[in-house]
Amino acid sequence: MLDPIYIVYYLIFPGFLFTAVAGLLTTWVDRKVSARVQWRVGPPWFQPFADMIKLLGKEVIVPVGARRTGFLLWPVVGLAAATLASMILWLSNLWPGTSFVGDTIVVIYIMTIPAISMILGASASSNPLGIVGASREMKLLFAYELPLVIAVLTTIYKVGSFSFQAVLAHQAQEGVMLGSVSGVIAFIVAIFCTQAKLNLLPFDIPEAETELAGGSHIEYSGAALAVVKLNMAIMFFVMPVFLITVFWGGIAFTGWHILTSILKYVAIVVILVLIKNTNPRVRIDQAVRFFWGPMFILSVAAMVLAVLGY
Amino acid sequence: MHELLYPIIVPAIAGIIPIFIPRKGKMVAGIISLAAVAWVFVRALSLFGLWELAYNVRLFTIAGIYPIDFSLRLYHFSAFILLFIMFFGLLIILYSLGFLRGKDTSSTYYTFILWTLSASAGAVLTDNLLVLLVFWEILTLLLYFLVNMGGEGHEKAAAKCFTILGFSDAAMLLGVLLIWLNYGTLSMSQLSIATGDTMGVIAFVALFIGAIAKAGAMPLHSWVPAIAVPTHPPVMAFLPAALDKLLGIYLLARLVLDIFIIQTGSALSLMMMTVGAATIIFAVMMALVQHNLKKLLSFHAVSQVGYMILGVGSGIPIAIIGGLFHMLNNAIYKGGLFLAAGAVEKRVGTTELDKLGGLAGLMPITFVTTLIAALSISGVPPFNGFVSKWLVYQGMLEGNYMIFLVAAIFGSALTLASFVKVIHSLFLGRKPDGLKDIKEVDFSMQFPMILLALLCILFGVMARLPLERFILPIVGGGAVMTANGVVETTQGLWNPGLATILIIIGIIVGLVIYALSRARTTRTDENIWIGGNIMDSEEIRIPGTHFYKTVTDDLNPVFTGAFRDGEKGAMDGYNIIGGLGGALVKVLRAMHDGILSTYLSWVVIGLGVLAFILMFH
Repeated sequence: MLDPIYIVYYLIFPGFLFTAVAGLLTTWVDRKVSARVQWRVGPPWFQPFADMIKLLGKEVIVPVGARRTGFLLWPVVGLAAATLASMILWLSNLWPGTSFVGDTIVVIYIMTIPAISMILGASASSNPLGIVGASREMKLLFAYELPLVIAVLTTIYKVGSFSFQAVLAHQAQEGVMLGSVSGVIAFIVAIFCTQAKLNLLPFDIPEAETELAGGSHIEYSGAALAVVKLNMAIMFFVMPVFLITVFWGGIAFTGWHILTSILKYVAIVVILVLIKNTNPRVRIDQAVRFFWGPMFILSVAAMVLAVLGY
Repeated sequence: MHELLYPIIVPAIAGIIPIFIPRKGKMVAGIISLAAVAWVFVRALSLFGLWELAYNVRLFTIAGIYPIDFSLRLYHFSAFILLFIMFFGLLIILYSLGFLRGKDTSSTYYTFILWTLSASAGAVLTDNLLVLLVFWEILTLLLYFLVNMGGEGHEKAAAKCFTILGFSDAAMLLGVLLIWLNYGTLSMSQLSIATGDTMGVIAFVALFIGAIAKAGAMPLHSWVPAIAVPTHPPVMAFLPAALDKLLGIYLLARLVLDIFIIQTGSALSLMMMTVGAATIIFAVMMALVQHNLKKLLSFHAVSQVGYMILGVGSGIPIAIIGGLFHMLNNAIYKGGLFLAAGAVEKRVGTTELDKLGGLAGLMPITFVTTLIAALSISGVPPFNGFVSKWLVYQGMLEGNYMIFLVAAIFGSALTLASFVKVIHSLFLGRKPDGLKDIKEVDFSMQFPMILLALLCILFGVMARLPLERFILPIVGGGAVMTANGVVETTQGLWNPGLATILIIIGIIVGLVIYALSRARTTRTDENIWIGGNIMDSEEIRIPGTHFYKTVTDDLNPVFTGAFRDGEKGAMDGYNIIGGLGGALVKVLRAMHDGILSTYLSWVVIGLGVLAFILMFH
């Protein structure tokens, strides 16, 4: 049942080690681009790693009234799930002829586990600000899940299969999804949903530093905070790869494809960072209305266009 | 005695004993019932090994040409359902031993449970539609009695339940008679009715009503939430959560697979799928706004049926497999959730979410089993609910039913939201000041919850076991491959075993990070940080019922309207018809003014009308 090679995949490449490094580098891109937008210099490339190491050396405080085991365990569960999602995506892209562990549906579901673990961790902290953050995270989750699923299903409808193998093969033969009208609309919807999934402005409502003082991770400190931050960094890395796989032909490692793959990735990250830096935070009810209103209508339009063959 | 009669007759006879045992000795009654059901369960296990077994007795013949047979037929499907009926019976009786201790409930509780098992076994094993109907009605009656043994408000709830199920039984009677008159036989294995003509469609819809009312799908769902609060939680776990799903969906699957010929994509199939998808979405939205744990769970019991009807009704093999697997999974995790509600009610005395909180440390077993069941029902991988939902999704894609696919996935996200609220309100969050000396429940109550939680994990991680043993033989292989533990269809794959191992490795990696850092020694003497304020525990307690207020209160007037009406019951046919009945009664009451001359004049008018008709006809 278990080929030992999978453990190597999971721990080293393209699993934990690779994903963590790439995720932290992505957060550096985020910080650097944000700094440039705000006319600052920004941190050096190793800053996220230095932050991690510093946090690991700090004391961990579990506040009075918190449920200790759950409080500390949930971020770890989220980390494990995010790593698994990354591994499935990368293996499918590296060997496009085969499928691993699960298909699109599986990855969508596994990518919700980090959010669930954040919610349960905040709930276990027993901090009212954290609990408000948790309830907002949950509302945000079911708000963006609807348009995100419809957007991804436009691709699935055209391919006729949930498996990454078929999604990539279809795009290799008949052109990427972004080459069609429905694909572009679905991609735009998915970008906004990604923004919410990563808790980036204007959808950083569950964390809301200026209002909830970190919200769902207000009580985390030291190594536990490091794991939470790593979790977010990994998701920041996984979501763009997911979008590239579903809408933009995937990532390839032959010849000049390496360069275009990296460019695609950086392009999506920069789009996300630019949206983040040019929009103020919205309220949770505005966010829910945004995703169940305009985004839902756009995603349905994309689906209808896909059914009509555009 | 014939082998097939044991599961029907043994519980029926054993059920007589508790009637003669006084209230104080109900533990004895329970243990006798437990022994009887355990014996039948072992019998059912050995029956499961047999492939095909039949038993037939001609009861009587009407007018010399219409024979009525008491015929039983055991084959793979009915043996599988029978096995799980007895399994749940065993767990519920064991749980009830602890739950009923110190409660003023009569020993006949066990009689009704045993007779329910007997009638369920009969309904599953029979091959004759009329016999099925008789057992079906016995079940309705027994449910009425069981609901009536519950707490405050049981009379109204039991009446509502009896009315709705009675109506659906009447519809079934119509269907059975139509089939009898038109097709000349009542034997389920001999029927194969085309649904092209009106007669076939009416017969199908009539029987479909019986199946979905039992399973609790919209629009005949409202008896489930109505009985949820007064009824004892083990009864809720036993009937609406487990047995009624097994029976209702069993009948639906027999209708779709054997008795009628349903074309994929036909109007009837689309009708069933619409019922399924609408049930998923509306019931889960209703569940989101509930304040009582038992009521919330009952709306989920309704919502989950949607997946089964969606899957089975589509007529696509993968989706049927998914729907039937979901039936089994739902019985497991929903049974576990209702039992957990019972444990909380037993120890705390309330299931109002606002009054609960922070029970995780006090009732750790209940917490962990509820968490597992909640993650399963929300479809979080790698638990069992995910596999069956995933199979339904695969089927929807194969049929290109994108609307139903979106509804199913979105319903799953809302289910998650609802259970996040439950977990927070019951177990996490802050403890209300009143809850101090709460202890974990007895082992006889823990054991069924633990077993069901373990099954949630087992049927998820090793999904091939239940699929190969129970589900695939019903539909016939081919649609779903299960080699090497990988569940694979033509459109996708899911390797739950590998995924679980990798997630566990990931958790170990995280724990190693903790071990290598300073997290080995945590400090636990700091208060939570709320902007520097120091406040009372009660002041900063946020119950989970506040979680979705922004969405349900001031978001979309359409949704808000739907929620409000739903809570009051405007979507509920029982209330509408009840209102019409009330209006009729008012008119009749106005006529009955008690004055003799009024009655006399009515008589004279009636005579006049009669004479008029007779003369000029």
